[in-house]
Amino acid sequence: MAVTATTPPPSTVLAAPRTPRRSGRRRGDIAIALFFLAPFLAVYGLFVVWPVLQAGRMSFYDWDLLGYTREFTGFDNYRRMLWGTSMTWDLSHLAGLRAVVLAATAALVVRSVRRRARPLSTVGTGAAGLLAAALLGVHPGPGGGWNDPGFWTSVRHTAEFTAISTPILIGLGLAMALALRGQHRGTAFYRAAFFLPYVLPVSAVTLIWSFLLNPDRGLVAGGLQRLGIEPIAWLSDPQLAMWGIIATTVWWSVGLNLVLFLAGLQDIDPSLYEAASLDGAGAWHRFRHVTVPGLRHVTVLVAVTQLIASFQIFGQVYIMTRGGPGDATRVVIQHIYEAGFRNLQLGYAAAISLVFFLLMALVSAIQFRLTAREA
Amino acid sequence: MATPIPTVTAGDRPAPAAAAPAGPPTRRRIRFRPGVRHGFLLLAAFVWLLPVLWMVSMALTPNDVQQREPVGLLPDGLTWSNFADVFQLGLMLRWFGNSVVVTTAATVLTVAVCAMAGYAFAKLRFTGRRLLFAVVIAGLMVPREAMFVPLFLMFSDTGQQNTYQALFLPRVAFPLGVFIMTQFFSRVPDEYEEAARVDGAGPLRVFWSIMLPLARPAMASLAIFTFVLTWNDYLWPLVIATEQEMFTVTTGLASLQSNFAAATEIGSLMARGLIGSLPLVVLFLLFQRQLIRGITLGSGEK
Amino acid sequence: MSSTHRRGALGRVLAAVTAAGLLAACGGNDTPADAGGADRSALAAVTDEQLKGATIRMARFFGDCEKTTTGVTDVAKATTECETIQILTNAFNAENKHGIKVERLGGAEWNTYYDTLNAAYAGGNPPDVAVMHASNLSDYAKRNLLLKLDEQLPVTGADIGDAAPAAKQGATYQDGTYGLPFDIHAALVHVNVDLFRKAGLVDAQGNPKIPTSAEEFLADAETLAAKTGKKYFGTARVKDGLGVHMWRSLIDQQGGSVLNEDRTKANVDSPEARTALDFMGKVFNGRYADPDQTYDAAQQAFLKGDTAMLMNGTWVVDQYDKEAPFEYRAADFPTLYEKPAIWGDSHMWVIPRQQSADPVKQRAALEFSSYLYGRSGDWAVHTGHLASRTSVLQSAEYKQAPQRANYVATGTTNANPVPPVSSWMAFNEALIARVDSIWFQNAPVDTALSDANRQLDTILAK
Repeated sequence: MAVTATTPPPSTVLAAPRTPRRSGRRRGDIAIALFFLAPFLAVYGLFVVWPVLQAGRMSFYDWDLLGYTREFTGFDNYRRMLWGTSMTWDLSHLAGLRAVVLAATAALVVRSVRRRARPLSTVGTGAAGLLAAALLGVHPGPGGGWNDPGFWTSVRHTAEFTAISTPILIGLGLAMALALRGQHRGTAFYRAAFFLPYVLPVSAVTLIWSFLLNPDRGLVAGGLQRLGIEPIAWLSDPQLAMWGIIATTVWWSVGLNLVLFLAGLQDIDPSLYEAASLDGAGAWHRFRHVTVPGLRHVTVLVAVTQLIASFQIFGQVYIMTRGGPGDATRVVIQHIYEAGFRNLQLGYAAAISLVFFLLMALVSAIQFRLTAREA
Repeated sequence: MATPIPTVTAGDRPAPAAAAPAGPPTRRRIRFRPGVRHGFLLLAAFVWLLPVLWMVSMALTPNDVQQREPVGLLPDGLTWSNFADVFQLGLMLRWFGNSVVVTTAATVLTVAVCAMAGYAFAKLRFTGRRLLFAVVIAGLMVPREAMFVPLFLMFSDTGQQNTYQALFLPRVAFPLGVFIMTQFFSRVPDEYEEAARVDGAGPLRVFWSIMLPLARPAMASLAIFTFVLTWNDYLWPLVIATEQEMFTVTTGLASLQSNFAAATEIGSLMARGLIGSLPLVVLFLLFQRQLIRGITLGSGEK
Repeated sequence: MSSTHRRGALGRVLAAVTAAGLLAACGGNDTPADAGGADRSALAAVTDEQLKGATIRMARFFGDCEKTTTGVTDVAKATTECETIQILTNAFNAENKHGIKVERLGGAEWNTYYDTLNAAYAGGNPPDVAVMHASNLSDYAKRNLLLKLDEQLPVTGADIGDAAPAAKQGATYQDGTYGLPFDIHAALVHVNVDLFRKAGLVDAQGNPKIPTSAEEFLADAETLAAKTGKKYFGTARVKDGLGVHMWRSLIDQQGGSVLNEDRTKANVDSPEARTALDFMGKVFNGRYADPDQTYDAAQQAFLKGDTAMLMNGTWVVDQYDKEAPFEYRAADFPTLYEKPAIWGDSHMWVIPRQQSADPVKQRAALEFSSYLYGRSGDWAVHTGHLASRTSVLQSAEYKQAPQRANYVATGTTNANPVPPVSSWMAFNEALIARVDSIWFQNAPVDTALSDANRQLDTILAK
């Protein structure tokens, strides 16, 4: 599962007032501190830090799962993952996506300038965005192809899944929170009902939804038949399979966002609403000028945690469609899993993991900056 | 898996009593009569839970009936045999036991370890504290799901595949847990500690007798949260526990969703799914407030 | 001073962790080159005393059917693959004179079987005896992960000379025998004779008319669709390899291959391949056949009478014979081009090498596999698979089993075992992925096939 930090930033968490101490405590303190910290640091070092380092190391090897080979191959794995034959660069490839990246960079730079941030960070942001937009233009030319088309397919599908499901999960969560807000009787009951799917294990959720969407037996098919529509084989149709996965995921996780938004709504100072309504503002105005700004914190939090979790999607896809039909729902984590355990290539799997980690770290870092600004 | 892990509040924040109050009469507000509102929400909740209700219906219908005809929301020929099968056939009980062992161990260890670390970061002064804390927080950026390859190697090379410790140990490294506990402890006024120190208590004593009891709400929330996450873990148990006897409920249930079982044993499959989810649902219903309190925002101080 | 102390402590912890990690990685999992070996004398020397009560772990797929097989040892009661193998295992446990007990290890699903087996090997703890496809043998034999059986078979008296040629070839890697063949299985067409009759596609004796050319196939499909409104054909293309097996078989029927002459490079972008793709595109147009069926869906459609001719394996013959509510006939897959060919594979029992060889367990595993080899006739008769032993293929009992006479040719000539390529698993996966991308993701045929060639060449080069 994805984990990420949130506001307030670490420095404020640790900023507790100092109290006068007798000297001579210091040495004892360090020993005591070590005692308290050792268990966590031990597991942290072993299970968080070391895997990253080891993945880095393994990625430079042709490392067979069954011990057949373990030879150093330098950047071969990266070349296989990220490169291809007859590579060219042009301006029009993925033009839409690059335009979006450029627009986002521009927005960030403008925002950075407005807040009078350090020039270095503004320039840095701008440069990074431009670089990203430029890199996206690299692609195999005619007669060539990616060395591992499955990798790029899985990246694309992961990105598509994230891009589509995140706004739905946020929007729906917010809408449901707005519908439930206030201290009415039964709020707790409704909140529990909508939150319930979140505590189910992924295999129970996939079980339910695989059958719901089943064209021969499912409730959805039955319902559609009553309307006179042919049953749709959601999970076997390459166009619709991803939507089936999205529907499953939304049902599963929106409850969490609902709870977060509800808490955020409760935190908005009611006097702001009073002030707004005294000024004659209607419901929509109050929503726009009190609720939305008040929820900005939560929204950023929800958006980023959702983003990071969506990138790491695996269970629903693997159980419901195995990445199919064909490659239509293949995602990155699945690609790593199959590279390692099916094709026995642990080195390559480690390389993909590492690239994935760097990507996630980048997203987290961006989140830190955004929310640090907010605090 | 697209379930995000949210932040956790430090400590026992009282829910703000004054939520949106009934506004002054001059406010033009769209208000539905309570009955209409309830009706709408009730319908919405029912539709939302429809999949679960359907699952119950399928679990209560015999397998052979369902081979011929799909069943709707109401069971067709009530039977408890599917539920009986869960406990008599297959390894469901064993999987259940595995999940209980692994999840309990992970929860207890995580809470203990994070509480200790949180206390150290919040209350103890030592050089490099900030740096170390930053390193811990940096760990939040590591996508746990993606790092299973080196972790797998580590456990399999030391012959620990298909062991309980392989299942719960990696879970214990939970930087977010440390963050939560640190946030909590840093809000505990120093006076508590000072008072105890004046009385001659050492830091261990202070931690055990004063800090821990104070931290009970936060620890409870962290515990429940870790419990849910660990019970629902899929990728790591899939990778490291390949023997059927060592499956958890989550991976075991997934292993049954094949082409063949789907065609012939739907009722039993659904019954297994329900039983497998039951502990979490029960836990949720009992400790709803703690769980939800645990995942509400800590950043009330904007 | 305290600051350096602190930093020092931290540094030391990190160093220790890193060192431990690197050491663990360096140790790794050595190929059990000789550790798991066994020479014949070791196995022959195992006494009955030692075997008594030995327990071995078996890994297999074939599914779960505990409910209907607990305590059953009479194979006549079996109706499916799962029941047959489970009952045979129960029978061995009950009857074998050494008192060996066989426990089933792991999940019983097909598509995770090899992942699980690989993980078990990686953890240094593979099962004592396992089932394996001939198409996967080379990956494991090449890595020296299986016990070579040539020297060992005389210990139990298993007669490998009786194995049918295709089966024996499947169990061989570089002139060594690594498995005891259990069956040969291939794809057949399962025919709904009632529908064929309704469409008038029967001969004078009322036998269904199987097409003998691509044009005839399409014409018959149109006739059936017009006269009955049902689909002429069906097979599992989603989440299953049968569709790609069909494509490869059609290539083989034209005399082509997905590999070049000396099997060092892929040959996927060939005229035969394109013809086959073209033909399949015409068939799976929604009118003659449903393009998006999973295995379950395709089977359901056939059993419900919506599909006249289903391409599925030999493993369902007995099941359909019992369950189909219409008149059912199994038949050889139609030869639509120059020469008859159809995808075939085989199952065999192998003995994985352990990191530290235990001759008792290996002997017990050998006893069990030999027992199953001896009873492969029962397996063939109760499941629809083709027998792996010539003596069985020629026996009256086998020939009288339901439908067997109708697909003799598949067993004797048509079934094309998988080409002996050492990375066939990875090759096949990549091939399926590329072809699936044409069918399900509208990848242009040219790019997909040339991508495939390139990817497959990399795999073959390893």
